[in-house]
Amino acid sequence: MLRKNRQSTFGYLAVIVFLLLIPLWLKHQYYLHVLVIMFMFSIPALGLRLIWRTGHVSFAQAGFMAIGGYTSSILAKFLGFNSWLALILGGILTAIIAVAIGIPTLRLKSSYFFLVTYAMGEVIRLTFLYLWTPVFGGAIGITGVPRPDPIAIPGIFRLAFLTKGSFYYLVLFFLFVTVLVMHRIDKSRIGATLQAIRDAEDLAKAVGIPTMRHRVFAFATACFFAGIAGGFYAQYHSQVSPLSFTNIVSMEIFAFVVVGGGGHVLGPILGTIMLKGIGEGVRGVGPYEIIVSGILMMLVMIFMPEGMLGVPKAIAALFRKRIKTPESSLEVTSEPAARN
Amino acid sequence: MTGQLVVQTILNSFMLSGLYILIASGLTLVLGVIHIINFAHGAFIMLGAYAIYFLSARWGVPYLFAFVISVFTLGALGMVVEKFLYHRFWGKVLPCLVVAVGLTQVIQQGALVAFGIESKYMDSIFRGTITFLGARFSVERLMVVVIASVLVLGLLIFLKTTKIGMAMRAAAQDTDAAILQGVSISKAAQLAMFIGCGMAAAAGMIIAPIFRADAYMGELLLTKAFMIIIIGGMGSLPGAIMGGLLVGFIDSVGQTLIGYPSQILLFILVIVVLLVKPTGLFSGIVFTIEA
Amino acid sequence: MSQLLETRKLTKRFGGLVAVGELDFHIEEGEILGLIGPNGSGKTTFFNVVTGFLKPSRGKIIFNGHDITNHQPHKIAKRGIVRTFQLNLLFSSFSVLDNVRLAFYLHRTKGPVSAFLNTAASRREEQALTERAMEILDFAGMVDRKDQLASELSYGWQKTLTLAIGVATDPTLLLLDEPLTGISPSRVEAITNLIKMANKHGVTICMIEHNVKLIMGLCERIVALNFGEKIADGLPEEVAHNKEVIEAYLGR
Repeated sequence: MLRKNRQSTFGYLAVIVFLLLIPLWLKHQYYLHVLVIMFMFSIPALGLRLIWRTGHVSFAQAGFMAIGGYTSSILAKFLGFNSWLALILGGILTAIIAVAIGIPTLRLKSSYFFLVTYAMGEVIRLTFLYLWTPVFGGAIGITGVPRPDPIAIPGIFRLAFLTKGSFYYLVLFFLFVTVLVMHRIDKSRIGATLQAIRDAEDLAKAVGIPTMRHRVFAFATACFFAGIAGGFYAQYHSQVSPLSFTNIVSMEIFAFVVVGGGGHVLGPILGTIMLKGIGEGVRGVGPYEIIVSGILMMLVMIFMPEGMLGVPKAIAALFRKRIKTPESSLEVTSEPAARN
Repeated sequence: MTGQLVVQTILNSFMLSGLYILIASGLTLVLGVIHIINFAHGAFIMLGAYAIYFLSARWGVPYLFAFVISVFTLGALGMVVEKFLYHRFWGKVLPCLVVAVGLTQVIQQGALVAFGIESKYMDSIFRGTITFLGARFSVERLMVVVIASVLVLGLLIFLKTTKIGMAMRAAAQDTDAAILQGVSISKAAQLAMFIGCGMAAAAGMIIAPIFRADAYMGELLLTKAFMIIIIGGMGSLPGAIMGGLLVGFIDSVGQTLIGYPSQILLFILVIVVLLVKPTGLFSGIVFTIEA
Repeated sequence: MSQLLETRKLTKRFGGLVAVGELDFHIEEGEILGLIGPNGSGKTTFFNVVTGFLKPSRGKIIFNGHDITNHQPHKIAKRGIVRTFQLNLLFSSFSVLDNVRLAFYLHRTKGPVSAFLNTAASRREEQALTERAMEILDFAGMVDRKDQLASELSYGWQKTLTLAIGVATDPTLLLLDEPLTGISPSRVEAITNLIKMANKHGVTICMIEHNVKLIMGLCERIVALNFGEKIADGLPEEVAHNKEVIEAYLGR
C-alpha cells in the first residue's frame, strides 16, 4: 500500500516536472498557445465538477468566467489596480455574485437549477453586450487589458509576462492551485459531505447537515475559479468580449467534464485536453471540434458513464473481477425525475 | 406617434407570445409525458427554420406542402431521438441532458458546416400588410399568431378529446396507473416527442421568414422557453400558454420601453417565481407533473 | 416524566386534502411510543411536519420547551430530533462504516478549515469518531459488514443501518418510520433489541409501525391515527382492543 502511494506520488511528480519543462523545448508558439487554452479551460471544468458532486449541473460557467474577466479588466485598466490584485478581486466578486444567485436557486431540483443557469449564462452575456457600453464596450468588449504585472525580486530575477512561455507557467500555476484545492476538498470530509448530499439529501438534512450552506459553498468556489480563469483569459488575450463567453462555451465545458469523467479530479483535465486536442487536430474549421465532442458525449453517456477515466478501471476490473465502486459513475447518482 | 407605437407594440406582443407558446408547449408536453427536459428542442427549431428556407425559398416548394413535410419529418426525427437516446435513460434527467447537449452540439455545428456560417434570409411567405388602429402589421406576423394558435389549440383538443390524447395525459399523471390501464408508455413517449419536436420545427418555420435561419437561433428561443415553463409551471400546458403570453408581452413592451434591461427583469421574475411559487404561477389545471 | 415533544392543533393540508388535522400530540421523555394507523392516516406526514421537512398549515410544535414550528430540518436535528425514512434512505455510494461516520456531523468540533488542511487535530478527531462508529456497528451487529457498500446490503441490513445512523447522531428524540416492516423475524428481533438498548441509554423513541403485534411488547404507549386525527391514545392492550382502531384497520 505504501509502495503504491510512493509510486503514484513519483508519477505525479514526474508529470509535473515534464509539464514544467515543456516550454524549454517546445518553441512553436502555436502549440504553446493550445496548451495554455487547454489548461485554462480545465479550471472552470474542475469547478463544474465540484458543482456536479452536489448533484447539480451549471451551464453558467462561461458566464462566470466573463464576470471575472470583465471585473479584473476594469479594475486593472480603468482603475489602475495591480493586475494580480485585480485578478483575485475579479474571482472574489464572481464568487459573491454566485452566492447571491445561488441562495435562491440552489435549493431547487437539478432540472430547475440547470434551466436557470442556462438562462443565467445568456443574461450575463447579454448584459455585457448591451449594458453600460462606455465601460463594458459592447460587442467589442474591453481591449488593451494590461498584461500581468511583472514579478520581481530586486537584484535576483524578474519575470515579465511578454512571452507565451511565461503565460504557460502562469496558467499551469493556477491550474495546479485549483487541482490542489479540489483534491483537498475531495479527500476531506467536506467532499464526503457534498457526495452525501448528492446521494440522499433528505437523510443529510436529518442528521443535521446544513445542505444549502454546502451547496452554496461548492457553487461559490466553482465560480471563484471560473472567475480567475476568466481574468487570466483577459490578461492573456489582452481583451475580453461577450463573444468569448457564450452558452456554447458553457456546453463545451460541460462536455469536458462528462467525457473526461466527473469522478476523479483529473477527469475534467483529461476531458479538456482530449476535446481541445481533437479540435486542434482537425483545426482550421472550428465546428468540427464541437461535433466530435458532441458525438463523444453521447457515446460516453451510453457506453462509459464514468468518462474516459473509467477506461483503465474497466479494464482492470475485467482482469480482477473487482466490484466497481459507483462513486465515480454518473448513473448511480443521477436521480430519477420523480424525485421529491 | 405614441398611439401607433402602442398598438404596434401590442400587436408585436401577440406575435412573440404566439411563437413562444408554440415552442414552450412542445417542450412542456415532452416534460410532462417523459419527465425530462428535451434540451435538443432548440435544435429542432433551427432545423425547421433551415427546412423552410431550403424548401420554400431555395427550391420553390409550395409553402403548405413544405410545412407539412418538414413538421412530419422533424417530428419523426424526434421519435428517433426518443427511441435511441432518451428511452434507455428513462426518466433520468442527467443522462438525458448529457446526450441532448451532445446531440445539440452535433446538430448545431453540423448546420454550420453544412449550411455555412452566414444567416439565411428569405422573403415573406405571406405578402401584404394590414392596418389596424393606425398601425401597420405584416400579414406574415399575423400568420405567426394564426398558425401558432391553430397548432396549440389542436394539441389541447387532441389531449382532451381523443383516446390517444387521454392516454398520453394518463401516462403523464401516473405512469404506473397508466401501464395498468394498458397504455403503452413507450408509444406515449414517442408520440410526445413527435408532437413536441414537430411543434418546435413549426415554430422555426414560421419565424424564419420574419427573422432568419441561423445555426444559433434555437438557443435564444430555448432560453425563453425554459423561462416560460418555469414561470408557467413545468409540465403544464395552460402554464405554457399563460407563461408564453406573459413573457411575450414583457419582451415586446419591455424592449420598446427600456430596451435590453427588460431581459434582466425577466430573469429576476423567474427567480422571484422560483422563490415564491416554484411549481409555477399557473400550474395544476390540465395536467401538472413535477419534474 | 416531562413532555419532550408536544404538538398543538397541528394541521397539514395538501390542497383540499387534510393529511393531519388539529392534532394534539405529546411524547413523554424517555418513553418508547408507538404510532399506528392504516395507510394514509397521516403518520409519515406527521413525522415530516414535526422534523421540518414539510411546513405545517396550522398549529405549533414544542420541543423541550422551544417552539420549533417552521424550523428547518437540519436545525431541528441540531436540537436533538432525528428521524429515519420509510424508504431506507442511505448514503448509497458510501460504505457502512462511512455512513455512520457521516452521521456524526453534528458532533465534530474541528471545523471545515481544519478538515481542509487535514490538521493533526482533525485527524485525531476522525480517529476517535471512527472508533465510536465501530462501537455502534458492534451494537448493530454489522462490524463484519463495515466495508460493504450501503447500496449492496440486503433490505433487512439496510434497515438496520438506517437505525444505526439514527442512533449515531446521539439524539434526544428518535423518530423511526416503519423500522420493522418487511424484514425477517431474526432482523426484527435484532432491531427491536437495538431500539431497546438505545432507549436504555436515554433516547426517547417514537416509532411508526404498521404491524401492531410487533410493537405490542416494545412500546409503553401507543397512539393511533386515522385520517390524520387521533383516535386512541393509551396502553398497548387498550389501544389494540379499541373499537375505532379495529374498524379503521378493517375498513381499509
